Amino acid sequence: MEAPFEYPVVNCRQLFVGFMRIGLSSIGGAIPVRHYLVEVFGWLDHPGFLRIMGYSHPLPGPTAVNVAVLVGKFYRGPMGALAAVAGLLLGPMAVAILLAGCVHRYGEADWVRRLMPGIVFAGAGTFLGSGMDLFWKLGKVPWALSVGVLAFVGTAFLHIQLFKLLFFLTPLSILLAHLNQPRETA
Amino acid sequence: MNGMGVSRLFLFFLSLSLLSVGGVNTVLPEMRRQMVDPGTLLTHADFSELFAIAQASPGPAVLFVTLLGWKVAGISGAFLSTAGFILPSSVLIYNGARLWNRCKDYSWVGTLERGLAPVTCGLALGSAWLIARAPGADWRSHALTGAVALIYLFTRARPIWFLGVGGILGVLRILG
Repeated sequence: MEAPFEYPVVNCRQLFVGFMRIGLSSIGGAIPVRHYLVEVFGWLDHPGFLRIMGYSHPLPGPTAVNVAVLVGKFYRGPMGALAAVAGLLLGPMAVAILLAGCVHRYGEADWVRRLMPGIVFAGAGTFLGSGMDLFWKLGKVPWALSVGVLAFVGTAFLHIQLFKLLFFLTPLSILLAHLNQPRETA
Repeated sequence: MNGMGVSRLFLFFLSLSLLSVGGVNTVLPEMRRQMVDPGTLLTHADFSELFAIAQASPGPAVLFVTLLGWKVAGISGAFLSTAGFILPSSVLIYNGARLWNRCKDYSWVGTLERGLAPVTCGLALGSAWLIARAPGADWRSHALTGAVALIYLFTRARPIWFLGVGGILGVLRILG
């Protein structure tokens, strides 16, 4: 038996500063939440982190923000959640707005006008790659692949309002998931 | 969304919050549909430029929402859009975590997750498709997008490397 994890005492200021470090270190799309929370700050043990990710990912909202809400709440209630979210977002928001201001100001320069599309199309590629990854993970399950294709066609070609699309597709998809339970492989 | 004030902006992002299962990817097509397609708030070029800046900035993908708000209504737009987008989902997770914990062993929660997965996946692919068709897209940009997608899928390298390479290809006039 390992010794039980001892939760440190963390105040709102530490939550704010800690999450600001997480937000500003996440250059390039990978948010090092686990690294900081578990290894650097020692605010959570690994199972605790997995538990928090377990709620944060499937529920609505950006995963990193959800993690900040839950960790802040765990240590300091509502004020802690607020401090953690503000810490996570304020630094990156300032950087992004500054960058956007620079692009706005110098956007007429030839090299900037050529730089931006390059980033856009490469960014589209990383989106496409992670979408394809989700698609593989659906497995060879005909109903799931069909729903995935329907959702894709609805957004990409038919430009259906998201609310309508979800209103029809989500109940259908959940019903199909219910009728096609995966076989137990235990 | 004609003549949108800051409060409309706030309410718009508020209404998207609880639909954002899987993050900003899922609601990107709707943001584009409502803010760009009517041709009143942003141009297609603005939209993809802000996407690029959000991608290149440190921090979570929700910065894209911040920048859309900033472009439409300045600093107050940036704050209110971001707050609107994360408020309902944060309140839900703040209050719902315990309930989720109690229910997660029931089989219907698994069914719910398996049902949502293909929808989220289709929407993420739809987002990628719409961005890949930004102004200036041609066979060279599609080749870049496709190559990045495959390399990213198999190597899981950090997205920033691809953005850097894409930017360099653009500056060197290889993208046309």
